[in-house]
Amino acid sequence: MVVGVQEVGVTDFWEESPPPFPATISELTGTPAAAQTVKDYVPGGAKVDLEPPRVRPAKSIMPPLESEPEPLVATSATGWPDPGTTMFREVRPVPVDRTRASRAFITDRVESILRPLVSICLTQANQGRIRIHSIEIDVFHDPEEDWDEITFTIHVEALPPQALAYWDSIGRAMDRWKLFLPDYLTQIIEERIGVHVDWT
Amino acid sequence: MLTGPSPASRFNPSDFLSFAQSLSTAKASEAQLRTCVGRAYYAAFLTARGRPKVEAEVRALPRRIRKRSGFHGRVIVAVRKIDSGMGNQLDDLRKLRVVADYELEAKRWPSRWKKASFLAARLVPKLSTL
Repeated sequence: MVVGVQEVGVTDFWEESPPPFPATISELTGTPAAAQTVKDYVPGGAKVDLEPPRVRPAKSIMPPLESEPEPLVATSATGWPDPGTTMFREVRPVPVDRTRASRAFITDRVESILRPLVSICLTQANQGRIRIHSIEIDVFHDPEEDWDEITFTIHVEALPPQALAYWDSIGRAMDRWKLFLPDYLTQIIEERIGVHVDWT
Repeated sequence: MLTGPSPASRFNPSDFLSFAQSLSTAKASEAQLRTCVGRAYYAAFLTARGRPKVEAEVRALPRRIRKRSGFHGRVIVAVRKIDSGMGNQLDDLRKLRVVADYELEAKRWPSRWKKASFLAARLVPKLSTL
């Protein structure tokens, strides 16, 4: 039957389901597979298996997930994020307050320590899921020993055991950090800066 | 002949903390709480001072530290050299104790004592292992 172009509209063409594609050569040719030879297709060829090869499912290189990952955002029924949700965890800026008295003690060398120290505190807080309220840099004077020290106090919103565990983690991170510092900076950390955590 | 006290008869610094905890009742006055904070610090400080590792670190401190700081500062620096976390926690206890003894305007003593008590109770056993 010859079908003219005019007789088949585009709509008709897509609504019509296509015939099933033959899965094997046997189905295509209508001849049993065992009776077929390559010469039917390749002149002078040897007999080959004409059944389509079985394809093994590819093995995943990723380890199996123990549980389904949590979605990054709460999705609505449409599958799209609800308006107002964000793809990223909320990051609040942590205020670092320096008292006027401390400014006289913060030399360039001390400054070069304080910046990474803030970074260590934020990293450890993030890992321990501790919420930092603020960081205060001040000076402490011991009148008995006439001793001045820079105090680096991290004010956190946590229960005492959590705050102390956080404090311990900062100490461990500082001990690792000190291994890579020159002696003159290690001395400043050990002799001139007190790192305190306050949860009260 | 006078001999020093035997180890068995030595005063245990952690008894200071036990005494402070017994003193800090719900109706404790500010004077009591300030005293308790001081005892909590000394429980930790004296424990640290008597440990062999800390003694060795104190002896190894350079002269400039020995000149500049008193014995409390030297012990704290020595503990910081061994473990930054413990050293800073001991340092915070010292700060609380100085405030308790010298700053007459300071308030919030129930919460300050709670912090000192919690810190010392956790720190003394850890310092005992040094």
